[in-house]
Amino acid sequence: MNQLLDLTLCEAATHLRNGDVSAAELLEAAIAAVERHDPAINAVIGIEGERAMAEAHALDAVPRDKRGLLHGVPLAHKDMFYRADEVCTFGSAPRGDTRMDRTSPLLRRLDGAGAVSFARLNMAAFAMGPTGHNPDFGRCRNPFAPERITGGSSSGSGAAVAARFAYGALGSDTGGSVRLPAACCGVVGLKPTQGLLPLDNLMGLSESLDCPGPIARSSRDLARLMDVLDRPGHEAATEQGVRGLRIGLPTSYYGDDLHPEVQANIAAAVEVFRQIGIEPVLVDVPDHRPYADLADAIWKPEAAALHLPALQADPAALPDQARARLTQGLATSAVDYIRARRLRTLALRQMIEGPLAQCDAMLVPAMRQPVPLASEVEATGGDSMRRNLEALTAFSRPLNFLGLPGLVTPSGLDSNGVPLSVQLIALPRRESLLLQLGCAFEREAGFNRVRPAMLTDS
Amino acid sequence: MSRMESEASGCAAGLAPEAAAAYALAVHGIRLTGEEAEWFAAEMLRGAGAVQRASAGMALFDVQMAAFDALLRGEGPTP
Repeated sequence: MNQLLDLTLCEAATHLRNGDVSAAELLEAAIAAVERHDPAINAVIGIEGERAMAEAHALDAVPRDKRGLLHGVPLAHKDMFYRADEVCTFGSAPRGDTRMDRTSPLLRRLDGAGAVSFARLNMAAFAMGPTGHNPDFGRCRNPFAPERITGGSSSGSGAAVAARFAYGALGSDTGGSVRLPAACCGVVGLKPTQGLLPLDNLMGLSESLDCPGPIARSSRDLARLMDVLDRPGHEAATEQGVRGLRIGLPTSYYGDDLHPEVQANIAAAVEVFRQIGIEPVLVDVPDHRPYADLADAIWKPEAAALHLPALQADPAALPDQARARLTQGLATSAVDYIRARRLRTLALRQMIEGPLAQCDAMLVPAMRQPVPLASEVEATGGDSMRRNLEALTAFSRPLNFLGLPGLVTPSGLDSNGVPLSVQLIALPRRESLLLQLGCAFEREAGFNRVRPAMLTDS
Repeated sequence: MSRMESEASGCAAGLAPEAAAAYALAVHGIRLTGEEAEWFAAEMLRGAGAVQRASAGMALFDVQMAAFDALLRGEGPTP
């Protein structure tokens, strides 16, 4: 592997800005890495090499004092962000000839900062599925353990960043779809506050719960991306000290039914925070158990409304899981949709005035269990699908219902050598604080620097 | 979902899969298979029961959906 690809995004950006390496050289290295390793991972749906190389050459001609925050940095994104004149599949092969006529404002912001977005990444079809399975493009495989899931639906985003194909990637998170792939693939993912980043010109599922967010290999890298995607100030926050801050440890729900390895890992993470001067405090959280069903009562009818024409025209053309979940949306009454939306307001207020008033951020496991085998969680419909979804997303979906920001960062390896991760949760619009805490944790623990063995061996 | 389970979920009675299939076809233009209709009927009741249980005793009359966005913007608690 080209050692430059093992740098973090910020380190690579410094080399590019200083002219130690050109944008074209780094893009060539990234494409070569995809060609070498992606047959074993299947993270990439398409490479837009010609356009990307033209951009890289143009960037190399920019004087050093005029270079942007992401000058020449190769990125790749979940294949649901529109770019004018390019294909966008939504993870569905029949869309393979569909060229978009508009560009996502998020891609425009990355372009404006000098990033080179060169590849479209695998995802669950229509962003419906938390495992990384895709019947059209094939299952995306975990770079740490190909027989295990990548998480989803932004499966390719987690896998491509972990495999060092790209320094960062955009995903979208309606029930955990940024955080689960980050957690399963040993990288760092941020679900921003609901509504912080625009939903224009990207594939929608649920305007109430959809949340685009970045994945990278460090919280500082995410902060740099958020400086571009949102507003400046996030990276500066990561330089501030954390001593004296308090992390809240929930007394219920997030500690229930934990796998022993997850339990030991979260205890170890608490010790890391204690070592860097952060005080753990116990906090009581409102009963989270109804939130998954209430979230379903909001996003499923919204998704069914958006995709009803496809469901009516030729339901057999939709992948099984997408068809099953869209059909479920038709089963929710408008009365229940409105009641769930109103309950959401009460639940958020309880969190703001309760546990999040007693600490700076809450610390919980990213998942209740270690990363499962792909064969253990494959289901296309029915009750087995619902049970699998509930088990995988138990700690991610509450934040979509509540609209709160969450950061997932690696906190160790399980007995199979597969990443375990923790999740930090804060008040609305406190992304900078999450990134500050994540950065401090990563400096001390260093699990975000662990590479998949398949890269170390090559 | 059995009739007993559906009643426990908060709904008054079970829903025949045939009725659920007729609803999906008549209202949404979606034709369900027999297996899908069974699951669809069970989901209608399970989902409705879950919302009903979560709403029990909650004062939703004065809650505005827009208040959620105000809370996310940090504009303070709003009923």
